[in-house]
Amino acid sequence: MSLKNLKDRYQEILAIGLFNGEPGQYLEEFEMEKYIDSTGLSQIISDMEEKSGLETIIIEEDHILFIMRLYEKLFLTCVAPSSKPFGYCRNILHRMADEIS
Amino acid sequence: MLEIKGDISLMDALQMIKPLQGEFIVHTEGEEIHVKDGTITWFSGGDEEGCLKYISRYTGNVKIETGKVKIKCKIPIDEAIMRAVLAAPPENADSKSVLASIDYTRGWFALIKGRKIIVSRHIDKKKLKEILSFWKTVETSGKKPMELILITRNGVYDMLKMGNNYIVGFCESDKTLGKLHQAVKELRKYVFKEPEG
Repeated sequence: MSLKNLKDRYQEILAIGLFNGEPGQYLEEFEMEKYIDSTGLSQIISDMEEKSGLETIIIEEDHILFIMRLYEKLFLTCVAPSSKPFGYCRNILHRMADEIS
Repeated sequence: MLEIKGDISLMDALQMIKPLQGEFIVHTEGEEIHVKDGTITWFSGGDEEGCLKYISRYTGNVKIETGKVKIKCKIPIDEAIMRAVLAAPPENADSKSVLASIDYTRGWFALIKGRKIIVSRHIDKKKLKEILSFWKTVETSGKKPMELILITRNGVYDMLKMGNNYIVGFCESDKTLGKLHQAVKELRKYVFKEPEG
């Protein structure tokens, strides 16, 4: 299942990306750079890993950013509008993670 | 689909669909309540008692849509609201009583003004310090969080910041994330009211 297909299927999602945790670039992304660049994302992931984090949810005024660890060096990111309940969006994130894995 | 943004009470939202025939899914910020023909049939956040407590406390965004409901219980909305009103904390409840009424066996909460912890329950100061540093990392990355949730192997942290004040909650399982989120939001109203010390 490609990221493009996932974004088309889950139309609530504003952006989606796969990232290896290192600053540089996303492995693949659709619109993610609009919300966070790879340097910022790698800073968050580095601290998240230090705290044994598996998922991070950042709720901002108009959007919610999800970061989820899939494997040791593979992270799924997505952005949903803040108008959606985060629990609902998190379910979509998990469904997408299942389809990618 | 009906979407109401703002501080809508869940009790008011349920009243709106009470007379309607059909199957409805009520989405809050973190949980779902399923309703069929004016009767609550399922709650995503736990058992019947948990559902009533949730109904009594929740205010926030609410979205209602039609859809296939799950059936695990049968509580007429009228009865649920009556019981929820009785279960609600008194209007003059302070943050300590809110904390005490939330059943997190192994969870903890803290209200922090500046650098001072003003109210806390079962707090782990070392973990609290560690987790507050995560907020700073996220800000350094260019994000401007209103709320930040970190799910780890050991449990879930939920943090809110209002000026220099933080509300931090922790529970051991992400299955109670919706409840934790609601409790942390509920504590917002006490941040500026609590005396220090």
